[in-house]
Amino acid sequence: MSNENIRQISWQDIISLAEVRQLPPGEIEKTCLQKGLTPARYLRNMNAISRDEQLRLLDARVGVCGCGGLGLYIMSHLARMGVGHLSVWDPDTFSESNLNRQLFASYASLGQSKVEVCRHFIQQINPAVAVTARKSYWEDDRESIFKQQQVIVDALDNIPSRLALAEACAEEKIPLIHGAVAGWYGQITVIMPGDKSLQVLYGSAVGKGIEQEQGTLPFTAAAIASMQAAEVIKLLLNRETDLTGEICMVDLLDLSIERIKKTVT
Amino acid sequence: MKVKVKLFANFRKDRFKEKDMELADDCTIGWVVDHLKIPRKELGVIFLNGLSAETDTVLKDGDTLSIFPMVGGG
Repeated sequence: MSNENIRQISWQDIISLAEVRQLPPGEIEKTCLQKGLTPARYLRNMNAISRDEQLRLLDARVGVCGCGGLGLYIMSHLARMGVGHLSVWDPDTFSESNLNRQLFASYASLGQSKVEVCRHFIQQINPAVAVTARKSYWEDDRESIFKQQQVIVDALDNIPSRLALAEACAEEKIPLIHGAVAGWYGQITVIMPGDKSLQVLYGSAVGKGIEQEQGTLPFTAAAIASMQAAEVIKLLLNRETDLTGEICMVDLLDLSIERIKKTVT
Repeated sequence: MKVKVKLFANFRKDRFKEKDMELADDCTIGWVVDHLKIPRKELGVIFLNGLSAETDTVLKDGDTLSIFPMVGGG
């Protein structure tokens, strides 16, 4: 079916139905999808994903650890795709050095909580998405919200925290989408429970990597975050991905992508 | 012996992407890293013929060595 011929329903009509039936708009969207009616906001998701897959995304739960260069783009992408329940952790506030790359960072948002600003913009982008914004470390919710996620995204900014997150995900048997950036370079991999590839990548490293010297460029963060979001969607929809068995190294300066087979899992 | 050395990301700057290096027998990965003046603290994952390896691993003729920096920003 051509994308243009899909039966659709506008947000205004969804809101009206939600008021009449005293239900959240997200529930109306689900009912519409079940009845073969696509909310207009998801029209351009069709037919890259099916209507049934869109419905699954509306019910999905994803946790994003870190709300900076990577995390903010990931939150935006997942909300636009229609992932229904998003949790995000970051204790930080916006500072001037974030302005070169972080989505939603502006002079107006300096000093404000990153997760609160993120929630505000996500509600503007897709009000049907439930956002749990936690101005704290993910470890603080380790025994509660964290465990309820179907997929966790590593959008952190230091190596010891990344290793601790990988360990927690392994214990809870939650898939982890790892991404990291420095300058023109980035890396991404999908870590299924039992996969020790992050330990191989980082060994016993402490602190930070070459980003200390190379900085972090906006398009690198956006590119790696986009790849992470795509991997989240693939996992949620049980689509195949090579990144469970590979680490992908991206070099935007040389325009090269190296895909390395994981040898230790 | 001859070893193919591949460098990635900023390690290529002022060095090379890929080079066949003529090395002495019993040469270790760590020797190559130091010879190329790659700071050890920037060193990330190392692959030798597609398998992760450590700096004390001794190289053999015909090996392919890939050296990546540590990338951890977000």
